[in-house]
Order: sequence, then C-alpha cells, then structure tokens
Amino acid sequence: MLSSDEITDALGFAGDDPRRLSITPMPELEDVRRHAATSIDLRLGRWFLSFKQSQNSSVPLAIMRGARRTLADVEASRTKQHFIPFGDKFVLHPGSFVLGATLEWLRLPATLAGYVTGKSTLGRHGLVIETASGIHPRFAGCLTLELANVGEVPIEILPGMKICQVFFHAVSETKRQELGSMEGYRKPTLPTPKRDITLEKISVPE
Amino acid sequence: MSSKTGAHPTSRLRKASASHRLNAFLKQIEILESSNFPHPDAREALGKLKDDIKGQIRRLSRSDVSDEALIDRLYAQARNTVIEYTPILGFILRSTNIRNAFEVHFPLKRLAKQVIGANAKLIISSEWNFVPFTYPMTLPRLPQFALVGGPASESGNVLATPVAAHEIGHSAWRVHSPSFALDNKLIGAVDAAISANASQTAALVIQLGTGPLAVPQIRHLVFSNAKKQLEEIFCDAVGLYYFGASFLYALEYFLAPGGGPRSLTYPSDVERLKLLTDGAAALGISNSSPLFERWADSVAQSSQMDFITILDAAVAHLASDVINHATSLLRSRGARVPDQTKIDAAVRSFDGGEPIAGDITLGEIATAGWEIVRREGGLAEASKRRKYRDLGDLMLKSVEVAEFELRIARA
Repeated sequence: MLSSDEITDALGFAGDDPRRLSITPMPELEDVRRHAATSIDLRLGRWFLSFKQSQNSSVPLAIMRGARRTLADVEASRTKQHFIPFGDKFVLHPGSFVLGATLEWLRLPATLAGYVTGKSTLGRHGLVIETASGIHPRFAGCLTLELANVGEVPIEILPGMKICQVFFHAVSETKRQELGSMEGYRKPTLPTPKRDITLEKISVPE
Repeated sequence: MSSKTGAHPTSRLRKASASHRLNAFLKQIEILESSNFPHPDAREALGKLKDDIKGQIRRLSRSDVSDEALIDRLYAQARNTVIEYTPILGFILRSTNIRNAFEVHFPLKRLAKQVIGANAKLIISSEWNFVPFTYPMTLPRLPQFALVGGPASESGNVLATPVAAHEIGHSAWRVHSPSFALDNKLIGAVDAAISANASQTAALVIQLGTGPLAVPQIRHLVFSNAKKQLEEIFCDAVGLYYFGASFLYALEYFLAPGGGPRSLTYPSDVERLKLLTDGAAALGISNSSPLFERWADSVAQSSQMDFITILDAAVAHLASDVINHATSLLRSRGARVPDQTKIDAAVRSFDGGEPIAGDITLGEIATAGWEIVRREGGLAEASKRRKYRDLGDLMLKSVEVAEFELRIARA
C-alpha cells in the first residue's frame, strides 16, 4: 500500500512521466501529508442514476448467446438520470439504492492499482458505498459508486462532499493498452456484461 | 336574452372562464415546480410567474361583475398571459431534461452576468427546433431572464455550446445598444446609403408605387432591417470574443455549406463570414484547420436585389463600429479572448485522457475540443466514435472542475 508520501509523489510527477497518477480536481494534499494518511478522499459528483422500479419485473445480469439486448442497450429504458447542483442534496431513503460518481476524474499509471472503500463516518449513518472496489492500472474516468442506505432514516448526500476513499498499491507493470468497458465516463454507468462461454455451455437444455 | 345566471351573465361567464384558465395555468406551474432543477434560475422564473398568476387570480376574485370594462380587461390580461407564457413553461420544462449538458450553465451564466449585468438570469433549454434562438430579456414578467434554446439533438454536445454566446449577445444588445447611440448613427448611414445608390433607390420608388411616400418607406425599411443585421453582427462579435476559433468551428458545423435563402435581418453568408474572419484576425484568433471553404453565399430573391444593395451599404457603414463596441464592452468587463497557450495545454490533457484544471475558460476548453476533432478528421468513423464521446466527457468534466475551483476560490 502506498504511503502518503508515495501518493503525493505520484501525483506530482510531470504530465509525460509514465509513473504519474492524475486526480482532477487535485485533492487536498496538505491533508494527506498532515495526517500521514494512506488514502485519498474523493468527493461526490453531481450525476446520479436510479432505477425505474415500476417499469421492470427483473433485470438480467448476464447475456446469453442470441440475446437481442445487452444491459447497455436497456440502460436508458430502466434507469433515470439525475443532476443535483452544488449546494443541493439527494435524499437516499432507507433501503434505496442509487449510482453516483466521484467528482474526481482519475487516471492511473500502469504501475498502480487502487481500492475504493466507504468512509466510516458515513457508514455509521447507514450509508454503504459498495463499489466495484478494484481500480485497475491505466483506469481513466470517474468512479461509479453504488450508494445504499441500509439505515433506518433518510440520508442527505450532497455533491461535493467527501464520499469515499481510495487506497493505492504498486503493481508490476502490465502491457494493457486499451481502456476497459467501464472507463472514461463522467456519469455513473452500468457495466456492459461480457459473454460467458462457460455459463452458456452449462445452460444448454438437456 | 334572458339568463338563469342573473344580472351580467356575460361578465359572470367571462370571470369564471378567466378564473379557470388562470388556475389551470397555475396548476401547471406547481407541477413544474416539483421538477429537479439543475440550476436555480428556472425555479426562480417559475416563482415569479406563479406570483403574477396568483395576483391576477386575486384581482379577478375581487372584481365586481357589474364593472364590465374591468372584467373584460382582466379577461384579456389572463388570456394574453396564458398565451404568451405557455411556451415559456414548456421551455422551462425542457431546461430540466437530462439530455442537456448542465455543466455549461455556470460559465455561460458568468458570461451573461459579464455582458448583461450582475442581475442577469439565464435559462438554457433544449428545443425541438434546430435553429438556436433566444428570448432576449423581452418577457415583461421575466425582465432579467435571458432564455437560450438550442436544438435537442445537440444539447449534450459541448462542441455546440459556442453558439449560445451569440444568443446571450441578443440580451446584451438590448442593454447596451442605447449607449452606442445606434439610432442616430444609423439614420445617417441609411441616408448615405440611399444617396450613394440612386439608381437602386429610383427603381425601388417605381416598384413601391407610393409616390412621394416611397423614399420615407424605403428609409424606414432599410433602417429597421439594418438595425437587426447590426444586432446579429454584435452577437457574432460576442461569440467570437468569448469562444475564439471554437465559435467559428461551431458556426461551420451548423451552417455549412451555406447557400440558404438570404435573410434581410442577417448579413449575407459571405459578408458574415468575412466580418468574422476579419474580427478573428483583429483579436489574434487563429484557426488550426481550414474554415468556411467551398461556401455558397446566401441566395437573395431577384425582386429584393435593389433593396438589399442599399441595406447592405447602410450596414457596412457601421459594422466595424458595432464589432468594436462589443469588443470594448467585453474587454472592459474582464472577459478574455481564448489564450492559445491554455488551449494547447487543454489539447495535451485531453490527448492524455485527462480533464484540465486551473484557470481555463469554457471558450478555451471548447476550442481545444474542436482542435482535436478537426485534427482527427471529425472522429465520426466507427472506430473513433468512442474517442469522440470520451472527448465530450473530458471537456464537460473540465468545465465542472473549473466551476468547482472557482467556487472555492471565491468563498
């Protein structure tokens, strides 16, 4: 796990340095140094994606051979986007779930990976940030956050508030060049599932 | 005619109808108020309309049906309000649609406050009309509000944003044209144009067939159309100053390859583009790729050629002055012409897959985006559409980051 010094060093490399970690807007590095923290706090962005419960009986989470529509195809038909301005709030009711995104756009070098976790101060109020957790080397984009209220009272979340933290780890450099399917977005998005040949094979009727 | 409604049956019915119309309109406002507003200006506009309608309902309820003149006046006011403001409610509704690139509101509102005044309000909507348009602070019940509508299919496209500056320019023109003393200058320019084009004037006099009234008629028509042309030239100058080359690129995107019908309220296409390219050169704005090539001029009706000759001559007298007026205004208000150093830095950031932070304007971000799109030949091939979409996200994230940093800096 990277120390606070190593994180701030990675953020300070020049634009063309392959070791450079980019977070835009830049977090408050003084806080990181002062607290000798091993993570960077990230803030909540303004776009949210909720699910239209009344229009869907169920949602397939895997695609099978011959499927006509992928998850991405139906995203618009079963989700609703929201834009909450700075200074305003999104109320997350008990038991409800919404996708948000970090305000920050991250770009990881090939030598770093990360893990996203919630903040305990928010978790104690019932706000669980169940994210994709792993951030792979060369990731670029805003992180989609899965926000759930598992408490008993409605929670107000505000764009711009500190919402999660990222820990960074050094990794051996990979040869991966292409962006993944969930990278490069400024809004929260649903993943595009990939075909699973094994799943298809075991699902063939006898 | 007898009636079961007692005395003043027409007044009673008219009062009831006005009440129904106003209450139905009020109900629509209240439904709209429950929308998610991306910015406070639209909500504030609804609040003002609501107060106005409630006032009309109060006055109507207190009115005496025996005062027929009053009832008719209140009925007419209610009718006119509902007719005039129903499209405005639709506009406000569409301003909340998530297809809009809400991030651009903040910098465009800052531009509006710079060129119009500190109290300016701005509502940006996506309309089912491809031609961008505006209500330039002309709504009596919303005098501080500039409403700018862009085409729905382009409302998420940050590259199309520069044309919004032209539309905001119309509101600035209403505020600032009096200080330019345009009318006096234009009267002189019109007379000079009529004198300098004697044969065209003589032909028009015959065409009009109104004898001694013909020349005053020509003068009036030239004056009113020239004034509108000069307003468009002013608005183009605002767009060019604030957005630099991206304003030219966006105009090309919307208007190429020219050749449309000549409007009397715009300069010809060729003249408009010449004014823009001359203006760009004067401001030190350069384009990184060919612009306005193979452009057909707008086509005038042959019956209007004499009139257009005089009209364009009158406009030519003042076009440079109007452009200088816009430039001086923006400069005095602290607006900045896009800085090529900052544009280059943004291009490098976007090429590297990162938004740009720091002191950067929407004009610089838009220009950097356009430079990449044009450098890459348009990014329309199937293999490049992802890059085009990513570029839009990088640009809008950069706009959002600039807002975030400005909010912190001014706190």
